[in-house]
Amino acid sequence: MSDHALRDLLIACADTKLLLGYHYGEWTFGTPELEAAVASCSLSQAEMGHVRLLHAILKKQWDCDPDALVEIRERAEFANIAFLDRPLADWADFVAMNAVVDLAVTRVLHSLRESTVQAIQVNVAKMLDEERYHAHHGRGWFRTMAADPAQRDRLAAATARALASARVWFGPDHADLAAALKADIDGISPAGVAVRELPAPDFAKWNPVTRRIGGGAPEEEILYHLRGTRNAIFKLN
Amino acid sequence: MPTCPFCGSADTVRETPFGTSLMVARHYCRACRSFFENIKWGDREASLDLPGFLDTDRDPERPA
Repeated sequence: MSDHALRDLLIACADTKLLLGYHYGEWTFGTPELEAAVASCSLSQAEMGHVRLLHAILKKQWDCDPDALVEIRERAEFANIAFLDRPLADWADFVAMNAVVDLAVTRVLHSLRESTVQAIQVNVAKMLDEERYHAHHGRGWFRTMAADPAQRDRLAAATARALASARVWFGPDHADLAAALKADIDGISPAGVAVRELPAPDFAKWNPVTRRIGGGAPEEEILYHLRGTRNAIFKLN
Repeated sequence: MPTCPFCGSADTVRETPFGTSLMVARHYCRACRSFFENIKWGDREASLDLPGFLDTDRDPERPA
């Protein structure tokens, strides 16, 4: 992988984790059980912490400005997994985000765990340690919902959308990661949820920087909250 | 019951189902008279439900 490709991939991981942190945080007040609310808040903090670690690596290795990556960029430059562009519709979306989208980034980080860049190697090991608990939480809820006929179809639809979105984000050279992710999900509940086979994306117009096909970006309002636009004048310097 | 993280004794009792956060329970060790908290998910990491690549005991690609 070229130096620039590695940088862009880390930015894409940081962007996705930033959006994961936002949605987990927002859902602290929307979970069906109190324990899941506490978990969601902790998941959010972990993701935001990982963003800081990734931004520190980007600063050290490539002199990227962490503030600029969050505050100044155009919306259309964000390279997050598209599933996170909009508010989550319901709890099934949340569980698909936790079990699939979060795990997709973890799959990429796992592939970088033996990087020759020492800062990547060390920080990825730490992130993978924490991601084990994210996976455990997502899979637990996935099993519970897959076992309920009233919830199963909704979960299957959200999961199919999450997998398709991750497939595009992985890009044309990483069908292997997409297949591994699908196998991770199939391994949770082989009989419970029938997830549709992924439609093969048309990668002809895939943008390797934003990792998207034909544009797309996080909603204005999500970035407004993430950036704290309303409270900009209260920012501590 | 979990063993005491301070002295290793199995002579422990559960004091409360919730500790400083919802995910932990509070325990008391009768051997060394210490309080400790325990994550309710399970006493052993091995009980985590993980995809193979994140399970450090099962990861076939894990570097030696």
